[in-house]
Amino acid sequence: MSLPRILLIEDDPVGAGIVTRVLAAQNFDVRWCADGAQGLTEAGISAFDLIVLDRMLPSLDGLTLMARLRAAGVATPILMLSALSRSENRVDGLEGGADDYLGKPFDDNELIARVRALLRRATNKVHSAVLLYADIEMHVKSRTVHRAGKHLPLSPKEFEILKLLMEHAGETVTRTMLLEKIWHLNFDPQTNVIDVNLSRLRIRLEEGFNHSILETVRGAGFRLMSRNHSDKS
Amino acid sequence: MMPKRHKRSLAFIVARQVALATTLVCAVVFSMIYFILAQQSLQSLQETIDTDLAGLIDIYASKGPDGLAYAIQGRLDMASTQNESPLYLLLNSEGHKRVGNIPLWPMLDAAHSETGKITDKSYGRATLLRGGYRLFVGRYAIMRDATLRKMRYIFLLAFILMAFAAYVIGLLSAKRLHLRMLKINSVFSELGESTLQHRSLPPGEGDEIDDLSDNVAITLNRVARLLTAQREVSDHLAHETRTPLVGLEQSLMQALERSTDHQVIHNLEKGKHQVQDILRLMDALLDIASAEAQHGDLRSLKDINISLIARSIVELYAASAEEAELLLSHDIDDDVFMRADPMQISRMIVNLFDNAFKHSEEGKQLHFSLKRGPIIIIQDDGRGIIDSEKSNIFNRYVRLADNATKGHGLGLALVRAIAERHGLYVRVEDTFPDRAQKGARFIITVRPKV
Repeated sequence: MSLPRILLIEDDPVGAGIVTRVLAAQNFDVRWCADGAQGLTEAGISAFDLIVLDRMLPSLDGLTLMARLRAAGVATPILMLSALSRSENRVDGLEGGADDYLGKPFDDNELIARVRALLRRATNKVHSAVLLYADIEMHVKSRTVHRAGKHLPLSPKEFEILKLLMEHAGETVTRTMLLEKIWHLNFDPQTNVIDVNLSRLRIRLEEGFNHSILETVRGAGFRLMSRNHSDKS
Repeated sequence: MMPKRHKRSLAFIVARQVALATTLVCAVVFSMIYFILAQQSLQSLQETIDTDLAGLIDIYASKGPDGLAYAIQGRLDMASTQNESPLYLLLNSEGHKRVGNIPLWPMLDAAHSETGKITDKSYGRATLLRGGYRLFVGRYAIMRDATLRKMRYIFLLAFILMAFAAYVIGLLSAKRLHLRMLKINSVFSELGESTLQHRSLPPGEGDEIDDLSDNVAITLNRVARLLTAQREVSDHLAHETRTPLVGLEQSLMQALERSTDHQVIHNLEKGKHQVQDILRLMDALLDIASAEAQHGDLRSLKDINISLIARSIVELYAASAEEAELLLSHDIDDDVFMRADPMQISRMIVNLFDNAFKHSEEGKQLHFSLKRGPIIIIQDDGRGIIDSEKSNIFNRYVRLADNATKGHGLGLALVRAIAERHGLYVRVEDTFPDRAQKGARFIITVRPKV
């Protein structure tokens, strides 16, 4: 299987260096364009699995570039990257056609998690009715969860959190991803609400079982990880 | 937004008033004309009678009683039998009738001697001639009364027609004016920050309404340009100052990865947190500035269900409340709608919850409520806020003096900026003014009209 190809359009060489280094370490094939117009041409010529686009580019700004790409029928997922990281900047970016928006400075894990989520979404569009991970079985339609055959009583929000974690099983789901996907908030509350909610879910998932399954990834987020299942497919 | 149906639309008020004024003026003018005509016709009747009487007196003077009787008889024979038929009676000195077409001497009322009114239908004058003869000359006023009655009917009809026409014309032109204003208003109220195009305005008619809408359009364009410029400047400033800070943070991270010395790691961590603090502070200030720039501007906002947002946030904080051993209760009305930016409303409620949790050490309960209006209340039973601080707690950088909580003191300033952006108003009061531990109650409501 060929490596996922990522087009990075970013004028700042330092920033581009960081993104390239982080993504290359994950075995992604990163192509860097320092100029907006050149990036637009590049995106038109060859197929990429994902475009990482800086918002403030000197020749052609990211929002305009994105509009042109979308108008030209390029449907490649776009992760917009910007030092403009406030809530309303994100709304502008997402409404402008970006599939995700990440403010600078970002945590390496945050970038990796979002890139993986976008790549997964692009390749795996069919949502299955049953999600399985390790000994957890989730029936999406009937909204029931069993672990090792035992029914787990979850609140609707807990179900949503677990579903998101299962869709990204083995990979990190960051706090901001949880806030955006589950609570539709694109800003960080000043208190540790996400951690408290996740530790509640952990109790529901692990109470009465010997194996831990919900891990906290320090400084990044959370992931489902089974010790007997550590090789992800 | 659908144009509002105004109970007090200026156009309809004007239409009603024009109709009312027309009715009143017509009533007054028609009455005046009627009374003048009635007066004149009476006067001419009296003149006819007076002339007739004077002529008969002359005849009496020249030809004596017989000549007079003969003349009266001649006039009676000639006169038509209806309408303004003349009335005559000539009595001799003994009071016997010589000639005439009425049987008895009429009862002359002193009160009516000026007008000469005899009965409802007749007018006349009497005179005493030399030699004891008494002469009465009068006229039936049947024709005059009929004419006046006809006139009354015509006037009443004209009056009804004019009032109706005034109302209909007023209503039609009011409706036209109303529709034009509605169109213009809906264009203006739909406008977001995007620059107004002149062609988006309804076609004008070159009158003062067009001037007004042009002027409003020019002003709105200027406001939109200023907002865009303000945004561009703050975006560029943010970008230009953040980029080196982002680079600094990255360098610190790289240094952290390579370092093994505990003291160095400690200092680098501290530096990294300070950089992140500055970045957060800048964002918070920009968020406040942005919300303040949009103060009260509800254009471009959609009607959203804030009950759903509130429920989701209460749920988010439920676990934190449990952990902090706070009893979190809520009372949220279904389907409370308002024109709002959903993310800003979420931010406002989240900041209030964050604030409540930061100051919750001594409290036991936290209550959130959302009622139609909207009225958003979050109250605790903690230490509360002393009166002198209540007024400036929403100012930037203000942190409670007796509290060592972290943060920039911008959370509540953003709450106020967002509330005011949506035409709402935030205040704080004691939850329990009578207790030692007064608690704090934050209330967000529609700004009271000044």
